[in-house]
Amino acid sequence: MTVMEFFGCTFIAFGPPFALFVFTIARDPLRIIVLIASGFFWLLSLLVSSILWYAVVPLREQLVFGLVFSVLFQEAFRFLFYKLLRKADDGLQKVSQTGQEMHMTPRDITNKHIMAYVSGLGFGILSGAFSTVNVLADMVGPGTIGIYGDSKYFFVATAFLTLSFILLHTFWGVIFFNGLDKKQYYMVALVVGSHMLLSCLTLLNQRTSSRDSPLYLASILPAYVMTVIMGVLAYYIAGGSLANVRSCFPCGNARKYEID
Amino acid sequence: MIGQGNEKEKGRMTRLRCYRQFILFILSCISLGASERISSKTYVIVSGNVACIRRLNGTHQVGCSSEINGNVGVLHYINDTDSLNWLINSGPHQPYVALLTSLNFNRDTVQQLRNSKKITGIIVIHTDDSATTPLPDSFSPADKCPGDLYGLYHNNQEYGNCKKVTWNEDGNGMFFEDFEFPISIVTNKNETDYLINNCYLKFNQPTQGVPREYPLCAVQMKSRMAAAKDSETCIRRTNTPTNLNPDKYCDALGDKNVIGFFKDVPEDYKPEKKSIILAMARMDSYSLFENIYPSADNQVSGIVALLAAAEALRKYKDHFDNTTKDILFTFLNGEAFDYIGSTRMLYDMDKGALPLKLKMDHIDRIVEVNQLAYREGGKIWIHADPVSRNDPNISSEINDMISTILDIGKNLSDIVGAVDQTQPLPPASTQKFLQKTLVPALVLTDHKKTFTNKYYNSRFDLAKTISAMVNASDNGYNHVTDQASNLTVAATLLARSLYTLATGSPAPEGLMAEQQSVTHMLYCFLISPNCDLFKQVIPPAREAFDDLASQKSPYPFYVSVYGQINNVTRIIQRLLTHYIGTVEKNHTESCTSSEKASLQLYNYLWMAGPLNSDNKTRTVTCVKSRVTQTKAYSPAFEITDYNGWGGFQYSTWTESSWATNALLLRVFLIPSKAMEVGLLCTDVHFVRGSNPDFGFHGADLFSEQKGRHLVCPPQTKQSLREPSSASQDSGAVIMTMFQINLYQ
Repeated sequence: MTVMEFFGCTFIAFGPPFALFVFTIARDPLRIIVLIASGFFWLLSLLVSSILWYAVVPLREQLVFGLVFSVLFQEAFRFLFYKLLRKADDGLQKVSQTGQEMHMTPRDITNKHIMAYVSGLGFGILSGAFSTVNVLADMVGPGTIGIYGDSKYFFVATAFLTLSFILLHTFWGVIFFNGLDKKQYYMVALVVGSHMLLSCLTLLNQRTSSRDSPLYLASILPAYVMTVIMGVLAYYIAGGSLANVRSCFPCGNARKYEID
Repeated sequence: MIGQGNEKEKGRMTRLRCYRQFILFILSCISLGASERISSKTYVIVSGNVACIRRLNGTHQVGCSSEINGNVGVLHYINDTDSLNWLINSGPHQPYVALLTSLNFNRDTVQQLRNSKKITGIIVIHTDDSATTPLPDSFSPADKCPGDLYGLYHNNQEYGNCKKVTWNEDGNGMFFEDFEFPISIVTNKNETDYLINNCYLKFNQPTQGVPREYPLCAVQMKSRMAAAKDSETCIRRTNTPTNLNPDKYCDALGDKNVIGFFKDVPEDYKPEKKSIILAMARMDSYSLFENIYPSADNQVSGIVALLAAAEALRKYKDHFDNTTKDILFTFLNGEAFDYIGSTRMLYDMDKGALPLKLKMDHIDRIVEVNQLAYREGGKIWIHADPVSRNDPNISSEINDMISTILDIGKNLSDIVGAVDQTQPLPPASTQKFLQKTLVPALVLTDHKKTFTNKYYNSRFDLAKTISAMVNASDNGYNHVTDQASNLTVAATLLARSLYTLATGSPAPEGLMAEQQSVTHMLYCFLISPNCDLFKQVIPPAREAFDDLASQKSPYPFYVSVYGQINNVTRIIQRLLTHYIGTVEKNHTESCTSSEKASLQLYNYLWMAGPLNSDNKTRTVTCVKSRVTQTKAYSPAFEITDYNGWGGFQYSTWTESSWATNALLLRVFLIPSKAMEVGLLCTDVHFVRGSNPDFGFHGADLFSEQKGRHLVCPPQTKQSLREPSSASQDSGAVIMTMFQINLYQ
């Protein structure tokens, strides 16, 4: 009954992103549109990298070639989406101001980090979907991986890695857009560089002649470490601080009221 | 703005390029791999598997079927009683799929496994290699008294129900059981080795009786049969269209009989009463598994003997004229399934649908050839029907026939004996003819009382079991085996007996069967049909030749479903035409390439012909003969509103149909339930954890005003509150859904 595995891995990979979607994006049509648009841009990057892979016939078996160019194309399309979004600022503002009954706060446009976050999440969700859907599809049968000697933790590792990449894309979106806005190009380089590094680390997940089973931890641990680092970085860029974190948790003792 | 951007972008690009070079350098040390689909890493497909299929008759369903999506069970290899007992008494990881060897696949073991209720399928090893597939002492899935219900002695107190002789002592009746799980055989040695070594020994074998831990190696067996309950039901379901794409649930078994009159006659010929001798053999058998119908003893031995006798008689065809009787060589199909062919032939006789409007009054006597390979005491035995001996005329004719044949046999190294007069006929098509009209009839077999064939109607009735196979890799085609020389003597006996019975005079000394023909026929029927004899008689078309060349294994001797081409029937019709027909040189306009059922006096058939002297081309020949085919299809399926399904008048056998992807066997690992549940719990917690219902004010994380204290505001602005409440509801829904799933 590896249908259980299927649901387990689906919700490990997509649970938090789904929650992010439900709480921060679902109520706002504009954000949904931007999310889907950014997802579409990710799909375009996938299309371009597939064309390249298909065209270069001799290197089809070499995963590295396809992987490196895929990362580059993804970042390129993130850049393109940034350009598109900034150009569309005026139009979005007009759209958001019509109709008093909509839950449209102009804050969506004035606070540039919100759209950066939404676009990063869109990138992440689509990227996660495409990296796990065919694995999930094969998971529904009665068997699990392993008869050829592969590790039995393959599915779990895939799910956790997917989750970390989705979150990473979200944070990268914020950092990338901020870097381009404030012309701090080392931020942009950081995003591209960390993306490339992590993707290449996942190559360690393949079995090599020197090892019997792949080192999943070699890619998962750095991925989560990077997720936390990027998360903290994105948090600070977006204006958060330690004080805010403390203020999130309900106090046990005296309640303080805020007067704005 | 744009110009500045370009410069900065160039800077970024160069930096990117540096990074990329650096990383590529690191990566060149890591070896690379190709990407594969996950399912190819999860499943190992066993392609050489043959399933036990489901058949139905008027009242029951027999055979095996799996669930719609297949049966999944942990593989357990049983090669001795210890492993069997371990499975039944201690195995904790049920359901299991039992992997049995050929020695322990028998009724006892299967019954024990069924009673334990722990198995969901059985796989049997059946390769060509005798080390992995040793021959058991006996194995016959037929019942102990074959054909009794539809036979001559059905309600007979004295002879019915095998009271006098149990014909098939070794019969275990497994063919007629209804198994609730699938049974398959695996025919490829590499795959059986894989199942034993890489699946069972590596993952499943208990260490000193202690069961292994997960993950375990499991097998999925899929052989979903569409039909159920009985023939009447599934035919009714097939005939009731419920949508524009009607499903077919089952098909009636049936094919064609091959009949050939021997004598050359004028155009206005009409047969007189009692002027025809029926020389019969049956063409089919069955076994537990699909397409494995070798039928060496039952009944290739009889077919070969009768065909060789026909060939021998051909030289003396001019001795047969209007003063002698005619011989009708008859090869009946579907006899193993309650006498489909003979019943239909008798039905057609009543309706006048046979050539020359043949009826039972035209038949003078019957000689049937049955199994001939395992001769008891080295002799062939003559059986006669004791019930017809009640008529003194028939009794004296029977005695005459027996003494004639015994005399002929004395000249042929005393190869014949007669059985006790009080013994009934063995299962034979003759029984159906005698049910209609009593005529003098004899059945020639290799057993005196009970069957000498220990593998009656099973997958072990092979060429090597009857000593008709040489271990040489090739060119057994011309090698005369023991069986071939013995069958040649039997064919000579048969030819001479038929000659004497038809003409009334002693057979000439030169009337002998050809040993070459017998050898070639045994090779072509039992070892490979891609042989010169068959190449001579097939149609001259290129497709027929290519079709023959692509056959890797012998033709299966199974009546199969009516409407499907049965190669055995076609080739026997052509062989009979070749042996008793005349080559027609001049008037070839009526010659056809395909065998048809015709009511004409003479039929003309194109054949590829013998090899020319250059050993490459053949001379196409047109052969004129009185050989044709008649339907072997039970009248039960043609009579509208037939209601004799529970009776014993006509055969009611059908075969279930199945979807194109319904047969599958694959091997894979299964995880433990604990791991699966653990995985599910983890993810549920992930979902739950992302669901802030502890009053977590997520929106505050990104508040830009750092200096404010936004602490526990009971009533803040709506826009901050609403997401949390919505999330609480959705979160609760998700939680309950998965708790339900978890405890299923």
